[in-house]
Amino acid sequence: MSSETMKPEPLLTTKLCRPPTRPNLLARPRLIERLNASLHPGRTLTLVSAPAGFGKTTLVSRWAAACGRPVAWLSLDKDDNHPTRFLTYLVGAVQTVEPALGEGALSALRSPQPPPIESVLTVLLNELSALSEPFVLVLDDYHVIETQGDDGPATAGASMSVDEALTFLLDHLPPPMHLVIATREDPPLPLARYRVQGQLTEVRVADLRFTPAEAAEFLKQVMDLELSEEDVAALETRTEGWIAGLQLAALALHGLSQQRSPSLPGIEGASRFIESFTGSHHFVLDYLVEEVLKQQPERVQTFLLETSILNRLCASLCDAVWEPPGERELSLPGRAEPSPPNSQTLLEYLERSNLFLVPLDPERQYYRYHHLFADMLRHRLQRRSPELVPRLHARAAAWFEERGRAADAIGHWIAAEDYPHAAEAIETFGYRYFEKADFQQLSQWLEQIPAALIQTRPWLCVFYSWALIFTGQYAEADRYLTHAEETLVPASEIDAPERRDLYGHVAASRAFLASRSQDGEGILRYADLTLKYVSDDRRAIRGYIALLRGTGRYQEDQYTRAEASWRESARLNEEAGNTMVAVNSLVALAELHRVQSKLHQSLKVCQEAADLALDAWGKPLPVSAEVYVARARLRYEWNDLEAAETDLDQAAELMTLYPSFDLKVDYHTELSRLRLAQGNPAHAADLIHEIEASNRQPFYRSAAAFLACRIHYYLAVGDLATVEEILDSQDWTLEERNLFAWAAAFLAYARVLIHQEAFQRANDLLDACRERLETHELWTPALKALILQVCISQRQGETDTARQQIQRALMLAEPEGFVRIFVDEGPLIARLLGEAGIRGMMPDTTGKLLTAFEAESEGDQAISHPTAIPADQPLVEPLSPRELEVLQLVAQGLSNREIAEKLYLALSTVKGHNRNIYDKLQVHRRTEAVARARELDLL
Amino acid sequence: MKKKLDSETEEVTVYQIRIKGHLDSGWSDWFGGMTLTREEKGQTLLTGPVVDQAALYGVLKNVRNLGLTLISVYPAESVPTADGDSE
Repeated sequence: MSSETMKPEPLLTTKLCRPPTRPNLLARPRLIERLNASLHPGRTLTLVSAPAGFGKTTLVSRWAAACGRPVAWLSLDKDDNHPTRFLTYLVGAVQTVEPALGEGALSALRSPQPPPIESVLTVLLNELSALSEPFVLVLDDYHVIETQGDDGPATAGASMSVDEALTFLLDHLPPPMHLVIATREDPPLPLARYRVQGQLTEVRVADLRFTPAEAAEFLKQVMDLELSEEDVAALETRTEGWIAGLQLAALALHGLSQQRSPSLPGIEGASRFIESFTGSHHFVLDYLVEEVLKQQPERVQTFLLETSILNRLCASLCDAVWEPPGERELSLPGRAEPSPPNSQTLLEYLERSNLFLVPLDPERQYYRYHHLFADMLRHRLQRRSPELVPRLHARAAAWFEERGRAADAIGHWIAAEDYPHAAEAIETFGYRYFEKADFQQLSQWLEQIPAALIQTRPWLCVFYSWALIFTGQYAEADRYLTHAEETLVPASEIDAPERRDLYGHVAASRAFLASRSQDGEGILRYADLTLKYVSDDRRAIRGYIALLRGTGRYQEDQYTRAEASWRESARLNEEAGNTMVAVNSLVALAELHRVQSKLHQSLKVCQEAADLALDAWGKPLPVSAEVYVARARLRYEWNDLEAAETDLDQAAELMTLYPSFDLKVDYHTELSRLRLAQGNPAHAADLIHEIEASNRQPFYRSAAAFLACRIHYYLAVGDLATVEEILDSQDWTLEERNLFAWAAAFLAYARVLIHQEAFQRANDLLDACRERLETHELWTPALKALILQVCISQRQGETDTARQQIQRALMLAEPEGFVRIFVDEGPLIARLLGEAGIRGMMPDTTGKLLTAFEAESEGDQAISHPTAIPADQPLVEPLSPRELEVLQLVAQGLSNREIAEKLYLALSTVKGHNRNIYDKLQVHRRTEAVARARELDLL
Repeated sequence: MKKKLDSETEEVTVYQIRIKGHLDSGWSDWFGGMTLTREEKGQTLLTGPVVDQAALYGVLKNVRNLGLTLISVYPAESVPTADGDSE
C-alpha cells in the first residue's frame, strides 16, 4: 500500500538508540537510587542538568538499562531545533516502544505544510494515554534546542517552538509516560512549579560530581591507575570532581607512564605532572586535551583531529576522510605488533583507551566523539590547519554521496562551501524529496545555495519553484521557472529523453502555478505538455498533474472530462502510492457527482475513498477528513442531520493532523449550515467568525462555498448591512464564474433579492443560472434554483406557475431522495407540497417531505426562512386518491349513504374516510371540509 | 547621554566577561573575536564589542559548551563605532 512509498528518508536510528554502556563503569548507587525513586507515582519529570563532561548520558543510559520499564531514547542534535523534525523524531522514539503508535501524527508531520504542532501533540497525547504499560522517554542533549527568536529557522505551519511543545507535553503528560531530560542548561520550563508540586526529580552538578571516594575508585578501577592518596586528592581538587577532567588527567598520566617505561607505571612522573597541573591556572580542559593529544602517536592525532568534523563515525567513513600522515609505521601504545593503520583498529583503540569515543549501537558500527572532546578537537583542527576543513567535509560528502545518503552528503557539501557540488547532489538526489513533496527539506538546502547557481540548473529551479508555490511566493517561483525555460530554448529541439523529461517537469510547475490563479486554460495547456514530455515512470508527477487537470477541466466547464481526469488521477496515484492525492481526486469526483445530483453515486465514491485512506493498521489517515466532510454534505441533503454531525465530528478529529486550510473552511461551512438547520445560529456564528477572523483566503471552491454560507447566515439572522457588504465585495458577473464552484453563492445572492422583494431581478438571475446549470447537467443547484423560483411565483400570486414548478422540482428530487433542499425553504414550500400531495402528486415523495417539515416545526426553530412569507396555514398531509374521491362527492352534497352506494363501499368505510379527511384538513364538519378543500384548490 | 540609533552611529556595547581558568588567545575566535587577557587568580577576562543580545548569548553558550566556569558579565560603557557626534 501507500505507506511504503510515502515514507521519506528514514529516521537516523542511531539517534533513537540508547548509547550502550561500558562494562567497567563506576557504579554510582546513590544516583541510581534517586533515579529509581523518580518513577514513583506523581513524579512526571526527571531533569539531569549539568555542564558538559559530568557523565549525564552515561548515568541515564545505565539507569535506563535496568529501570524495569521500556525506554524510548532520543539523542537530539541541532537539526532537531525545528518543531516538526523534533516531533517526528519524538514519535519515532516512542515507536521503538510502541510501534503502532503515532502513525497519523507522523504522516501529518511529513506533509508539505504540516498542521499546527499543538494539534499533532494533542493527537499523540491521546494515543499515549491509552497505553497500558508505563514507559520512559529520554531526551538527551536537550540544550541543543534554542529558544525561538534566536536563529531558529522560520517554520511554515508550526505555531510553537520546541520548548513550548515540550511544556505542552509536560502539562498534559499522560500517566504511562515518564520524561527524562538531560541537558547542559535548565530548559525554559516552569520548573519551580513542578518542584512545588513534587513532580520533579533533579540530578544536578553537585550530585554528578565525583566524590573523593568515587574519584579514587574511578582512577583505580576504570582508568587502571595506581596513584598515591595525595595525588588522587590533588587531582580531585583541581578538577572539582569534573569527570571529563579526571578522565583526561588519567589519560595524560597513562601516556606519561608509557613514555617512560611501558611496563611500570611511573609514580614519580605522575606526581610531577599532577604538581605542575594543579599549580597552574590553565583551563583544565584545554590543557589536558593538549597533553593527551601530545602523547598520542601522530597518526592517532591526525585521526582524531580530522574525523572531528563528523557527527557520526564508522570505519569506512573515517578511512575516506582521514589522511594518514606519511608512511611511518603506526604502533599503538600498549600493543606489541605494529598495526595496519586502518580506521577500524583506531576506533577500537580509542574506545578501549577511554578516548571519549561513544559507541552508538550495540554492534559498535557507529560512534561519536564526546561532544566536549569533539569541540576541543575541532578547535585545534581549525587552528592548526584551517585549509584542511573544507577538504575534509568534501571527502565526507563524497563518501555519503557514493552510498546514496543524500541528506548527509548535501549537508557536508554545504559545510565545505562547495556549492557547485552541493547543487549537483541536490540535482541527483532531490527528485526523491520532490516526489514525496518534502519541500521543507528541499528549500532548506536551496536557501543556502547562491541564487545565481540555482538559476543555471533547471532541475533546481523546478524543485525550488514548487517549494515557493507551496509557500505562496508565486512571483519568485515564476522567476526561477523562467530561468529553467531559458535553458530549454528552442523548444523544438527537445528530443533527448532527459531534456524531454525536464521540459515536462517545467510544464508541470507551470500547471501548478496556473492552478493557484484559477487559470483553467493554463492548467490544461501545461498539463498536456507535462503528460506529453514527462517520462512514463514518473508516476507521482503524472498522478498529481492528472488531479490538476481535473481542476482545469471543471474550471473550463468540461465536466465529463473532469470526471475522467479525476478517475484517472485516483488510479494513477493509488498505483504510485500517493494515497493522499488519490483520496483528493476521489473526493473531487464525489463532489462533482453530488452537484450533478447523483447523490448515491457520490456516496459510493466517498466509500471508495474512505476504504483507500487507511493506514497500515486500518485506522483512517488524516486525509480521510476530506471524505467525511464530503459525506456530511450528502447526509445533509438526505436530512440525516445526526449522521451528518457524526461525519463532521470525525472529520474534526482527523483534521487536526491534516493541514489544509481549504478543508478547514469547508468543514466550518458545512457545520454552520448544519447548526442553522438545527436551530443553533449562535454556534453557526462562532464558526463563521472564526474563519473571518483568520484573515486567510481559501482557494476558489471553498471560498465560494463559504461566501454562500455567510450570506445565508447573515440573511437568516437579519443582519442586512453585513449582507450588503458581502455582496458589494464580489464581482457578480455570472459569465465570469464557474458554476460548479460558484452556483451556491449565486443562489444565495438570489435569495437576498427575494428577501428584498426584487422578484423580477431574482427570477432573471435564477433563469440565467438554471440555463447554464442545466446545460452542464449540474442538477443539484439547478433544482435549488427552481425551488427558489417556486417561492417567487407563490409570493407573486402566480399559483399555477408555482404548481408547475414544484411538480418539476419533485420529479427532479425524487430519484435521489433530496429532502433538505425543500425543507430549508420553510413553510411556504411546505404548504405547496401539502397541496401537491392532496392532489395526489407523487404522494410518497411529498409524504416523506412533509414528515420532514413537521419534524422541523416541532423543534423550536429560531431561524426565519428568508424566502418565506409567514405561514398562515397549518401543514397538511396529502389525501389519498380514495379520500379525494370521497371529498369530491361530499362537495357535490351527497350524503354518506349515497356516497357509500355510489362507490360500492360500506357506510362505516365512508365514515372512516371522512374522519381521515377532516383530520388531514384539520376541520370538524362537512361544510368546513369543503370550504378548506376549495381554498386549497383540491376541488 | 543621548542614544542615537541611525545608521551613521550604530552603538554597540563592549562587554567584559570573566571566566575561571587561563585561556590562551587562540580561543578568541570562539568568543566573537573578543580579546582574551590573563588575570591574577587564574581567571581570564574576555573584552570586546557585542553587537546585540543574541551575540552575547552566543558567547555565553560557548562558555557553557566548553564547560568553563562563568564568573561575571559586565557591560562597559557604550561607545559609538562610527566616528562623530557622541555628546
